[in-house]
Amino acid sequence: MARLILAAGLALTIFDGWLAHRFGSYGTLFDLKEIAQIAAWLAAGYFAGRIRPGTPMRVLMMTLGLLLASTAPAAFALETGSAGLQVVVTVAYVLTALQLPLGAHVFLAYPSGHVRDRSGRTVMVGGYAFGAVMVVLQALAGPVRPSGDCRDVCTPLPLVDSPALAGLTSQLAGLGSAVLTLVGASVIVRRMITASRRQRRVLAFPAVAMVLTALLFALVGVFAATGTNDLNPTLALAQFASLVAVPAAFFLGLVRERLDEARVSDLIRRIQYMPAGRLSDAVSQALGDPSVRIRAEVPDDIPADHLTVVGDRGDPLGVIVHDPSLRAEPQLLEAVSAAVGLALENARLQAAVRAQLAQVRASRARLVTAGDEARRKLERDLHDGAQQRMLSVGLILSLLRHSLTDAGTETKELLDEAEAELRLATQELRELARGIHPAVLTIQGLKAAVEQLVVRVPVRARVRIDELPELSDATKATAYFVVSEALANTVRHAKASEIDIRITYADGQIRVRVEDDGKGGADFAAGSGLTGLADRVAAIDGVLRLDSPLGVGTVVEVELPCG
Amino acid sequence: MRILIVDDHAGFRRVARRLLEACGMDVVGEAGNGREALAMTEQLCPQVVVLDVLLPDMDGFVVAHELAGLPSPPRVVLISSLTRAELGTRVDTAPVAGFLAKEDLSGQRLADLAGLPPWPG
Repeated sequence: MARLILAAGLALTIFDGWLAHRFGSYGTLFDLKEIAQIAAWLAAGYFAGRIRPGTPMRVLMMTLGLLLASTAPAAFALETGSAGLQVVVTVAYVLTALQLPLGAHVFLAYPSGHVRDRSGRTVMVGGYAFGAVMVVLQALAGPVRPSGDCRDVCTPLPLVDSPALAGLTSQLAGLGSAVLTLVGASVIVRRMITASRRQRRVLAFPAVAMVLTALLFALVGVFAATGTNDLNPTLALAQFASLVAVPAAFFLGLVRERLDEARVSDLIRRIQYMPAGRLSDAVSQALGDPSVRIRAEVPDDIPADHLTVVGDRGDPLGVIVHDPSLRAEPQLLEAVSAAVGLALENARLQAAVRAQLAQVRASRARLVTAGDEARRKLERDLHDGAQQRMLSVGLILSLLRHSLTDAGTETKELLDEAEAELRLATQELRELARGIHPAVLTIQGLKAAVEQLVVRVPVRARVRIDELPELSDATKATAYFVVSEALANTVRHAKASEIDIRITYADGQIRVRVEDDGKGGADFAAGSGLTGLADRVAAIDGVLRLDSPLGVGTVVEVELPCG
Repeated sequence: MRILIVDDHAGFRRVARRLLEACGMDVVGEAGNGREALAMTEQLCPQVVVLDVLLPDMDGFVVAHELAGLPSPPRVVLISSLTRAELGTRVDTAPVAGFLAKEDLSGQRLADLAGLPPWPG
């Protein structure tokens, strides 16, 4: 459809150009402006459809171009006696009655292509009705024909040769045009006033151009009605200049609207994962309203027409404070509010997840601390209970030996055996207590505890430990058990000949690294105790790394916070 | 030889007293914690204090330092159910005559460490 109109419009324009060139008597400048005006509407309409596919504005604007192309022969003041061309000029003249109604329609329909408001519709329908009457009148009466040569419109009509009717037609055309354009302009001005700031940005250029054009037309109408035709050429030139500017302004306005829409859809796309702090600025930018603020609570001191509640009214996620003019675009507010709702809901969920995670981490750390405490208590109970009693029994056996000075060999052998067994039992109990929680760790700290661990390992080991700051009990115990578990794994599985233990401190963290030159192949899944260790390390916000390529050796490395 | 035994385990104190007395030593008192030990030392003036390292109220090393600060300080022998290695270098730097693992306690070893005349019997 659009292409058809374009083709017809262009063909007519070329024909108009030829007519003007061949028979026109107003001069090249006038002819060119007329042609330029037609081309401007055709082009602006065509490209408006390219940037906003499917918009009815395209067909409307191009139809206006086509109509102007059809009516142009009536404007050129052709000097010809050809009867055929006179028919063309007559049809063109009759059709000029439709210029104003169609122009008003295009103005009122901008930018959506639809005339939705009641006053706009009234003006549009009134315009077409007036246009229809004028078509009939102009066809019947024709213009006032000047005597002598055919300067203005040479037509085989009028059907009714009545100078009175022709004069009336001319006056009615002028007066109707003036009224229609003034009423149309006032509808547009009112629309500007009630529009949102954002809509005003879109309406601004074409609206100014439209109002100026409307005033020019009104003026032309008034002059025509009062018969002051001498001013027409100057006014007509201004009119045409503005008519070229108007389609350009329409096009720019549509481009601006398209950009604004793109900003809103861009916002909706990005907003879900936007940090809450940047939300206000992004929405403000997308709506073209610098006063936009997103609040968590509905404020009492701001009028309701400035507020759009986000989410359920009973339990709002937040509220958008904005310029009240945005009320003119309820669909836009709804879309932006839905997007902001998503973002706020997301932020709320994220905050809840973060809080839950913090709780889980804290409780995990508490579990580790409580576990350590339980082990320490168990070790202490063994020390204070069974171990002390066994030591006392040892001393009693010693006393018994002194008191049995005349005992036989068998008694003394039994005493020796009892003492030896007791010594072994005490030793085993001590080892057990040490495995549960080494007293040396509490008494002397990590360095001494690790050094004593190494003493009992049947593999050559090198220990290098930096000067360490004060460590929390959990960190100290975790570091110790990492070394202890790594050493146990090396001894049990790795067939290593050498172990290297390095404990360093930097930036508030200690790094424990246990490396052996064994067969490698250790992993978390093998039930090596590394999994439990990894959990323990993670519980105090540490990191455990295991690197154990086959045939190369194993490196267990942890980083732990000191506090 | 006048001896004060300091240990928080009453059972161990009782057996240790019998062991040392069997060796002819004079156990003048038993203390269950650090404060009692300090008070009884000032009151009973023992020549030797057999002092457990792990006490409920005070660190045994701290008690040893306070005892050393008395006008006529007694000789202090540290005892513990922990090994010397587990206690580390603090044993070496403490103002004490020596260290004995609890299972090694005997009148002879105590007399050797405290630098007293050997047990007559």
